[in-house]
Amino acid sequence: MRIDKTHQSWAVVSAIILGVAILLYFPYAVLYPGGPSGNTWPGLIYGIIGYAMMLFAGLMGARKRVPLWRVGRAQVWMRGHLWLGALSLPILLLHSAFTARGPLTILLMTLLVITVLSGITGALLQHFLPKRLTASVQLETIYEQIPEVREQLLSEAGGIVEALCAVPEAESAVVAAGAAFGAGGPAADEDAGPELTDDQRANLQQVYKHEIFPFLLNPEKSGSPLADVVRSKAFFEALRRQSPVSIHEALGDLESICEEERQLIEQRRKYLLLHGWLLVHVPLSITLLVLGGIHALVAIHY
Amino acid sequence: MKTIELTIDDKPVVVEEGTSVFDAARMSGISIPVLCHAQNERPIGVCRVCTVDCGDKVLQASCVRPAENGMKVFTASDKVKKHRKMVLELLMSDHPSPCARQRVSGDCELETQAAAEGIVTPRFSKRVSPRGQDDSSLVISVDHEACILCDRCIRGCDEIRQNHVLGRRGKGYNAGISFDLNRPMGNSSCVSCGECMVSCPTGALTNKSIIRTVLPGGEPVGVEELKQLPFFQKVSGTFLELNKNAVIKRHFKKGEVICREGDYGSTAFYILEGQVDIFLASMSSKQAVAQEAPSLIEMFSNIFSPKKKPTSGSRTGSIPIDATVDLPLDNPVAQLGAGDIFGEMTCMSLYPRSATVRAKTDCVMLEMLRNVLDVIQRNKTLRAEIEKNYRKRALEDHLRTVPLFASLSPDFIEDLAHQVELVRYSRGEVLTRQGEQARNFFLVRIGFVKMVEDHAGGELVLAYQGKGGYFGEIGLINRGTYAFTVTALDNVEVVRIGVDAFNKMLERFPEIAASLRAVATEREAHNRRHSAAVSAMSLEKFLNQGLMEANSLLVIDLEKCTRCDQCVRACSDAHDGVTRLVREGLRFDKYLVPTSCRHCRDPLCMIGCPVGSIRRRNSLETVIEDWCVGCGLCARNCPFGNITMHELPGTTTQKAAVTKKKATACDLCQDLPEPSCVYACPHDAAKRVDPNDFFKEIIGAGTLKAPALDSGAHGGKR
Amino acid sequence: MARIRNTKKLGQRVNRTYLKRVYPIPQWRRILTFVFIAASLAWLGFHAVAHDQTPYTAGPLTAQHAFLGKKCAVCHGENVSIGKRVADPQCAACHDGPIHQASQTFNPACISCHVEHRGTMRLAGTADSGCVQCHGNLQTQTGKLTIAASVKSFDSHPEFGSVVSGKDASGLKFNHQKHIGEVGQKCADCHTPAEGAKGAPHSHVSPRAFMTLPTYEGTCMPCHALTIDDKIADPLPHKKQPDELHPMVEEQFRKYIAAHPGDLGKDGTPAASGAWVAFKVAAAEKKLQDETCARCHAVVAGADFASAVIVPPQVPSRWYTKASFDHSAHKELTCISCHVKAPKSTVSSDILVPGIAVCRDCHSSGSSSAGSNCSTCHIYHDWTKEKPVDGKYMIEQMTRSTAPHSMTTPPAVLTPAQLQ
Repeated sequence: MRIDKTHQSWAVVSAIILGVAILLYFPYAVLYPGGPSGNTWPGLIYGIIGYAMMLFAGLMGARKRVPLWRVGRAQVWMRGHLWLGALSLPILLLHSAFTARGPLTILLMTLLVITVLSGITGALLQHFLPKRLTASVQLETIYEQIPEVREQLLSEAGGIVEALCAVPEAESAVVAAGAAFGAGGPAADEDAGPELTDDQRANLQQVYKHEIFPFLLNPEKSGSPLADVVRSKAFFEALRRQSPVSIHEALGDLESICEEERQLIEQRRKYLLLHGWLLVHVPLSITLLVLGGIHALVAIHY
Repeated sequence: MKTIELTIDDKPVVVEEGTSVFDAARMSGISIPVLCHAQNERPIGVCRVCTVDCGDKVLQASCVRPAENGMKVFTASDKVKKHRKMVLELLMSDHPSPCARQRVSGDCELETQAAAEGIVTPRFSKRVSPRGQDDSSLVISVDHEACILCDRCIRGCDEIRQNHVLGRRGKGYNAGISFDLNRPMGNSSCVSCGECMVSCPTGALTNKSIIRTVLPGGEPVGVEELKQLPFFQKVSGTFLELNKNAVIKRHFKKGEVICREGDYGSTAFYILEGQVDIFLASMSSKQAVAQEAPSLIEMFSNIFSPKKKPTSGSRTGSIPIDATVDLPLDNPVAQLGAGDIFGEMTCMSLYPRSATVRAKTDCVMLEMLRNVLDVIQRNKTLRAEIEKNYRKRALEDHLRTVPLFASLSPDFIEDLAHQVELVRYSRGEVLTRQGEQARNFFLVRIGFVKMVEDHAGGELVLAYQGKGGYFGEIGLINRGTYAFTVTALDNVEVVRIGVDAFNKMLERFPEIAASLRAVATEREAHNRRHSAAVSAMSLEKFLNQGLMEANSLLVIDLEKCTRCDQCVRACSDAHDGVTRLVREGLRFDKYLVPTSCRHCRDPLCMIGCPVGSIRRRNSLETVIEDWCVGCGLCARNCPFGNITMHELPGTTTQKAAVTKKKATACDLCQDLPEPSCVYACPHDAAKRVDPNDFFKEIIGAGTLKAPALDSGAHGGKR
Repeated sequence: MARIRNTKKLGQRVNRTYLKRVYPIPQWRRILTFVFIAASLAWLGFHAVAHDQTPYTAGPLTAQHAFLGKKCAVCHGENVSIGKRVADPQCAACHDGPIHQASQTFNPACISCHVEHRGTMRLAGTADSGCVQCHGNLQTQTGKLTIAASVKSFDSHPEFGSVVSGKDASGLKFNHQKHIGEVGQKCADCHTPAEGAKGAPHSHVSPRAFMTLPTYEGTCMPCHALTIDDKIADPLPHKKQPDELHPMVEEQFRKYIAAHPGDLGKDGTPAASGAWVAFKVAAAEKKLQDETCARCHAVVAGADFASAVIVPPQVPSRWYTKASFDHSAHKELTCISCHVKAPKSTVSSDILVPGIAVCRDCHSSGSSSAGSNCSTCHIYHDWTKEKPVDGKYMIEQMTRSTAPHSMTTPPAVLTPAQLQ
């Protein structure tokens, strides 16, 4: 979520909560016999508040599973997730009095720190990356659809090349027929495919088979020159020089297909970055909630 | 166009060259019996019932015989009658009388005509090879025995619906219609739109009564009752039977409001008994909402209940229209009585009701859906009638609602209404061309036009005019040429006032002249200022993507969107697991315009729906009612791919239980206060907006909205 | 035939059922979530099966309690209740904690000072805040406060009681200046740490930290032997009153003259042995009363020597009566750096223990302080009132992790069956 002016109220409220929590901590830490710790009443309250914040942040995931429930707009939840989630770290540090000694508490604190840090990383990514993605990938599609779109691009390119190369008998027959009837001549000429010599046709087929097709088939892997903007441009420039002007438009189409493929590579890369951090954040946060719950139960028990 | 003269039954007739004898006779009020020729289809002349004597060697089928200069046509001579009777008798000999249609609605065209000719028992024997029945379709039952091979169904399928399912099979006695390559109808690619059975003159294709159209608030009307009315006489009984409840009878008490100005609707009314008054009332103007900086307390409350931005009229059920004249509600503009039809303007043009209608006495009405009106209009005679009414009312209504003419006296308007024309233009047509001699003044009634200044390097869009906008005055006042080229952006209806009427008006009402001059000056100055400011690129894109068509546009701010697909998931969850939103589409500025219904001002999708299920209720939203038969026409019509056909599970709980497919499009989550996609967006990226407001800054402030909502921008307020 | 890109085409190239399929990122998210949770639950489960509650501990236990680490219930009890703390009886099962002071207004819980789960810290290393609870605003049952109403830290601590009195009232006459300055003795010649002396129980102050009182026999006698006559080598015993000494003096002279009859009448002494003894006794007793005893002690004269009384000196064994000062912790200092007045003190009434100001030279508050916690000097519990604790546990109970529950309420006698 982009952090913009609309977050002002959340930021102010969070700052106030944090300020109050810290201000209250000092007298508590100094005056409480035995010093601050999680098992004093104030410490317990910090813990409950912190866990509630974590829980709310965690419920974001559950909220997403029921998009239809009218339990508050998703973006309100998201703002809460961001701010309260981030706030849970300082609050829980106050809860623990900045120490963790037991094995479970050490684990919890580690998980919490990693979760919050990954969350902040994610928030930063979500703040900056969409803009760059939008700018750099003009021909974006739905990430999940990339394989399908690639298949379509491949078949489209195949179709173009096939149309360019499938000249001989049929067309010349039409032209001949048109000539025979006399009147049909001009129409037949317009419909006629590009006039390629056999050499040019073979050349085009070779280029397609050895360069374009492998790139389109597996754009992520191949070290094809087409994966690079500059080299691709040079490649098609060369191809155009070898071909008659009549097929330049079709070559342009091929080039634009390659361009789309390149953008899809870029989209995939950025998308993985934009969503990859969740692989850390989500599993750890759920584990954190589970273990935090166990910690709370045991702490209340003893 | 060349005209030709001929006589039909000794009556001199003048028609355009290329007119068929049948149409020439129709235009001069002579009706020729026919079976295979439906007026909305291409004539093919196979039944030979419309046979006439044109003075040729043999009798001719009038539907395919072009009229010729000096031709003498006899449509009811003894020779012709004898031939026609023979043809009917031959057809009847093969006809399983009474056929399914005759039994149900009593209007089998063949049997009706045969009865009229006095044919009871044909002298000829039945054909030997029975062609059988096909009951495989869940919607339509096919009785090949009753088929007279008129091909009306085939043309209906090909030409009207363009489904290209129907064709012919067999030869000789075995000839018949076939679905695809002679497959059982139920297994064919038929989409069950019902066009074939509506076209069928006999009981060969009849309805299995499975569509449950539901128009609320009325009582059903029997087909027989409808067939009594002249208005419905030419409508196929099969169609009426099929669309039972697409026409309903409603009773209104004296003083009750039947429809309200500004409402959207999809029905027309036919008065059976009583009288109604038609009024024009003003609509409330737009309310400005002042924005202040939030206080701290508000900030707190904002977190939990973000301020709802006042949405544009789409949710409130009415849209602000431009009428600022306040006509008193009890000053009737017009009265209509039994046999009149009203509401057809909204029904046909898909624009809001232009007047309020109130019952003057207790009334009985027939309320009907657009598809019924469509079918009625297939008969060209009736259509001409309706058009005439429409134009007359549209003109008068419109002239009265234009703020510019607020000071005109009623009698002058009456007078003016006879001197002006209501003209329709379709998308891309040019209304005026820059530099041409100015001859007309235009008032936009429906749709959008763009005003363009031609430059050497290309054109520069200066402004858009929507409903209530006008143009041409600069040229007329200066007695010179048009200052801009004006092009229709969608289906546009304008009121065209000729130069003479215009000048007369200016003479009689100098204050109008003064305000028009002020407008002209203002506009010229505005255009000069504006020329520099407009970013022509954005505008071009805005237009090309058809964004100005939209009433409610889903946009996704790509700089906020993390591509999490929550919107799609929400849509899918809200609609039984089939998403009506696809996060794919063209971009405008930093916004993605995804595939989701735009609820167009001028919805192409609604045109031609065979069962009237895609429609507007009382607001702007386009809804697909669940009596959809899944023919897919709307999906093909939608230029943006926002309607999808989706396979229905074979349940019987749906009202159209047995259709295979159903059209789906965004319904803005009607039952919920906010569309689910927007509600579920965690990143504040997805929004439903009025594009003209929303993109104002990008496309140049004041270009689009000014004429549509703020008619005073060019002087109305002074 | 330029490629067309419009909304309809873009929308239609999308397979609308794609949401129903599973994609790698969400799938891996689910898998990793499952793995993480399963791993952590397995970790907890593994310990649970072994009846090992170590994972839940709030921190490592002190060495003394470390063996209880797997059995929370031993101290914490079994009953579930919110905010339940370790109650005093749980501690009292093993430890006696005598009260602080008879007149204290309330009795704080053990755990309010003795904080566990802080690793190897000292259990008794109590923070000042615990003491300041009361001593910051002292209340007494009588309502009278005699010394200080508020002690919040060493900075606000009143002057030590011994110093406040201003005078050493022991009654012993001793001239430090003479011994150190003229005789040239060293402090350690007289003042030595106790060897094998008993320190206060549960004190972190070592038993050897106190100076023992110098004794006559160990310190003074070499120079100040209690001889009564040049001819009699045996000195008189110390710590005897004149009435006891008189017969001893008589006896010594009687024995001497019996052994040395030649001395009768010598040097102007009576010749009769009875008179000789009486003569000698009178002289010796006069010397004792006026010189030998009176050098150090106050002597109250009577009708004769035998009826005189030597006032026993009241030398305090500890000057800081409420605190425990540890000399061994300060052994790198010279004695006179604290006992400044000692070399110049001529009279024994001088107070030679340093005042609080001397302590504060090092033990002030602040980061460079040598520490000035209450517990540095004071001990909370009044160990003089300690009651004996009867051991209740068997070694097996303490060390075996499989029988945690039997420990909460220790049985008076464990049967062999219970040990199984």
